[in-house]
Amino acid sequence: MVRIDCLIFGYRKIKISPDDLHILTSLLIRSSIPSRINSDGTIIVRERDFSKFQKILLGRVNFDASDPLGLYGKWLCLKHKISIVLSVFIAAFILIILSSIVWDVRIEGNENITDSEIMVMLSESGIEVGSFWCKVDKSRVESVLLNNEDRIAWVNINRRGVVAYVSLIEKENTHLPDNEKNGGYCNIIATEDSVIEEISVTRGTAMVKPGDTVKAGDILIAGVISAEGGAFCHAEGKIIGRINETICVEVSRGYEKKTEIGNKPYSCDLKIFNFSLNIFKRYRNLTKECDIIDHEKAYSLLGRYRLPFSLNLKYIPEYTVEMAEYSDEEIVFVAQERLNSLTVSRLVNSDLVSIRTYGNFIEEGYSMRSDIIYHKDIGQKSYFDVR
Amino acid sequence: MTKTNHKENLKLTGEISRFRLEANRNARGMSILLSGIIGVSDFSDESIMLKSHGGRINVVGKKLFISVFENNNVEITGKVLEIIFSYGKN
Repeated sequence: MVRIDCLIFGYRKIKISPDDLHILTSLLIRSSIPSRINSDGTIIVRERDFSKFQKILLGRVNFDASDPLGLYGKWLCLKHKISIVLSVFIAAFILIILSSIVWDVRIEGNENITDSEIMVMLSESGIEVGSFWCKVDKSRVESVLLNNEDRIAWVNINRRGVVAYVSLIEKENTHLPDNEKNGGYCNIIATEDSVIEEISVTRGTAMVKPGDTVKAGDILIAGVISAEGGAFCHAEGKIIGRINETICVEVSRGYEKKTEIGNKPYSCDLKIFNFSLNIFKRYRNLTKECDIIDHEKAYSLLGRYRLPFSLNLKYIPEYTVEMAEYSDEEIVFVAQERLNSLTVSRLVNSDLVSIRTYGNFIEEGYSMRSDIIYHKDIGQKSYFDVR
Repeated sequence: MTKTNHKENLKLTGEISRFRLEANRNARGMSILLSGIIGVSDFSDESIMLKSHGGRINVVGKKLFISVFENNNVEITGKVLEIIFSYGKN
């Protein structure tokens, strides 16, 4: 193993007879020439000590020296090939210059504020595609955005490679509907048939109590303050209802089996910075339905730095369709999958209390049903005007 | 004798009657840095005989090699089994 300073600044490998090794070592020790000596007669000497080494050994010990090795050795070999050296320097220079420019700005976290609005604000603050990183003061841009835009609650600008990532959080919409502006009287009504599990009133008068059965549309909290002699108000509160529901799924034995036989290229675009360059496009019959798969292929340097160009491929998968029949196991599996997805969509923002699932084979195929009981906030505001 | 099952890094610095050496464990076995060396009288894969003003140092082991540094400092690296000091004028 060669030391790192020898690798960078160059070294030579010298070969002598093992019998002369002890003489050579003594000479090197007395001359204080740093070197590494192996018992097989190989010596490694730094390039800058080689001339001194040669003077000391001249006439005393026979040796064979290699050409300069290491990085310095390579440089000496290439010194006469000016074009290679120049091109390496020019490439390094271009890489350094290009990596100091903002090549892309990516925005995340915005919902109501459009990307183009944010890009305009950023360019006014000094950061846009093509600006130099050294001239971008991220903290100043963040402060300007927060001061000038009321809709932004938090913003952060990060640099990853040559891309600026802008993350922001918008302020919650405190805009009141017209009803609320004009007095804002409302009742809270039930959204579904259920049994009241829990009711907590912040403002208004409760019209139901836990254990009552209500239907969709029934008033749960009235927008009336009975203590103030019947004054109207904006009812507020939370009502949890227990809902019993049955979800049923039927799956037919026969189905259309799609087998993918290949992909038909549809279009290919080369994306450089934010510009898209169409390489080829196949024009298809627009009335015919088909799936179009959009695949973006990005490239990176050494797996760490994303390059500023990508390939956008669109293709149409081609299928053959034939009629097939599910086996018993398959039909149960399909029914289960469909029932699960229906159940999950039903249970959004709810707490599941119990679920029982039944299944049986029918003439057409298979039927599966789930009896679910869950708790959910069933209150919904219903505004009214007073005349 | 070197202890091969020793888990910590062995670091020994000492001056033993005019012989000064520093020893460290490493991946190749051990490296011993000796000061005040004026010459080498024997050098092979398994035995190195060094000369100093105060005497001789014989290092016995396996796969030994020498690194020479400035100011008469010499480092021997390898699987060192024995270090024998002998006194006398060189």
